[in-house]
Amino acid sequence: MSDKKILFEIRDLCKSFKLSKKRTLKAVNNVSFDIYEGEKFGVVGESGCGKSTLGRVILQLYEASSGKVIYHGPAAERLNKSREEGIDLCSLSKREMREVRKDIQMIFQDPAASLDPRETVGDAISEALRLNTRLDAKARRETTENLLQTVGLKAEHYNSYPNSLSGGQKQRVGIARAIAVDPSFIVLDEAVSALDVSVKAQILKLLNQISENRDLTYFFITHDLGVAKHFCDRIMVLYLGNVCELAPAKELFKNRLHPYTESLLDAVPRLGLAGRNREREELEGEVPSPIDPPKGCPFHTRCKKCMEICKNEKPAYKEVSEGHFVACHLYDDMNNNKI
Amino acid sequence: MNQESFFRSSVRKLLKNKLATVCFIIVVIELILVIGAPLFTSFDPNEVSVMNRLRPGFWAESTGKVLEGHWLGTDEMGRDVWSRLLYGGRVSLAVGFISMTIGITIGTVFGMLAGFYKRLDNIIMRLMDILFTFPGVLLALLIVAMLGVSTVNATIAISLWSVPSFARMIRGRVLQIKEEEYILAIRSLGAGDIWILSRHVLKNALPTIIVIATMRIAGSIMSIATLSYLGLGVPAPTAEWGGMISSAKTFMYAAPYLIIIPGIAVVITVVCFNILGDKLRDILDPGLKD
Repeated sequence: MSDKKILFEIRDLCKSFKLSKKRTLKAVNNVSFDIYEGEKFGVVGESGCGKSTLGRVILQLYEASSGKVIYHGPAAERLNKSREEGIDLCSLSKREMREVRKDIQMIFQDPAASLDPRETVGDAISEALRLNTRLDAKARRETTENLLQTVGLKAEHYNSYPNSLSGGQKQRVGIARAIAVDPSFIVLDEAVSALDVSVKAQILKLLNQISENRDLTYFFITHDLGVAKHFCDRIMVLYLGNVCELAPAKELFKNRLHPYTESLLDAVPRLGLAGRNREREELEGEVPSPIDPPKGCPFHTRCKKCMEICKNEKPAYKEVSEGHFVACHLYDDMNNNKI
Repeated sequence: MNQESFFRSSVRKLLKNKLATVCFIIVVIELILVIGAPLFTSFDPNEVSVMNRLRPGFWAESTGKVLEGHWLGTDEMGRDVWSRLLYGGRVSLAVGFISMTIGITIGTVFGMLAGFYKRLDNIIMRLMDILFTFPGVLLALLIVAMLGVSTVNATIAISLWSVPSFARMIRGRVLQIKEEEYILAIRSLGAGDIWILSRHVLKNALPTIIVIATMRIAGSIMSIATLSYLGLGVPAPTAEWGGMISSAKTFMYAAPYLIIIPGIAVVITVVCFNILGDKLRDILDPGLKD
């Protein structure tokens, strides 16, 4: 892993929403990690754990409360910085940020809501080109039709309105629009969660193909662990806006360390006899409110292995083995083995 | 995959409704009559004929008082009522349309800015509230009193009168649209505020704008009639429906048709535009229904 180039360095990123004078909601809390070039980076967690917010803060669709998002992609050179040095997206002006937008795109969960209902498919895609390139109308039309083909739609769909397409087709339009400007990084916010199983498989295959052909990095937000396991290279587990664990996908499923990861993976229903008699670590209770998060480890209220220290002290986030990070007091002694 | 355009499909839906179709046809006929007025009457609306004052129309055929050609009779100065009705309709409808257009343009700009920018919201909407607190006629009276009686000033007064309610309704719609995910999606493509406002917010607010515009035409026609009736709208001797009613009120008993005829014209026009607006709302913007 270490020989890979870093595309994003996220450092101490926080995002809180002010609800009223006294109450703030901490959606993302002190999150730090790296995203490597060309990888598919998965983020999993329960509803409301801050996955989507994290994605949107990275894209600067929400302003970060504090922390840094350092980007080492091609846009850095356009803004007269070296790739190694990178640029902190949080400190850019609106105009500079627009320059970066070409590089980083987003695909949304609900394909129906993310397309303007009064805009044809062709216009939606060529709008991306209009905003970011200097192609003339004819060239835009040509590029758009090529893109439609790339994502498995037909050129006839150019003049269709979104409401005449199926969910899968709409998501293909969303993908076409995102890759239209040749980005290097795409945030996929639950991009396949709203689709049928068969369509989901097709879209995932399409995303795989595109990433191979175009040298893309994905930030894949999902609550579907099965999808994350097969699609992603590395997976990060979030809980209440905090990172619990980050490891290569295979390693995470083989050797899970954090008790939260454990219960999360156990909750996945399994077919066949293999899991029939296994003991499940089912989670009890609800996720605490992010408005008033628990002291100490955010997970201690539901953790089976909760110790005294967990209630008072927030565990540090550390690397316990190569590329495997965890934030849990159980592994305070840097020991790789489970206690 | 031929898609019906948004406009054509709405017209088709509108014409499915019988009442709306009748109103639509009436409005079209009225527009043809009013715009092509010289084709449908041979009399000058302002030609005075003292000898032929207060001659009744076709309903008094048997009395022998009816003048050849004046099928709706003549008024207190011997002018032909039919041509005054047509030329008066020109003024009423023109003022209605123009003041609605001015009002909706200003209202849309204010409404979109207030809805889109939280910072401007308070300033703009409080300004609108100030305008809103004046009863409509009083505001128009004030403006006409300051600027003087003329058709242009009456139009300005009526335009201003409709700005706050437009701004308020459009702001509400923009507040909704602003939170839609496709706006965020377009922002993530790198679009700026002006691009989003002019291409996406406006386009999606358009149904609402069309609906309130149609309803507002009726209101504007009523307003100009009211102002003219009070002597603050279109100055005499120019024909205008409200003005016709006003000058006929002295002869209410001798010649009631002088009030009834322009009165019916106002009522039909206003009712038709209101029904059209209602039905358009059902088709274009079901959310606006109370």
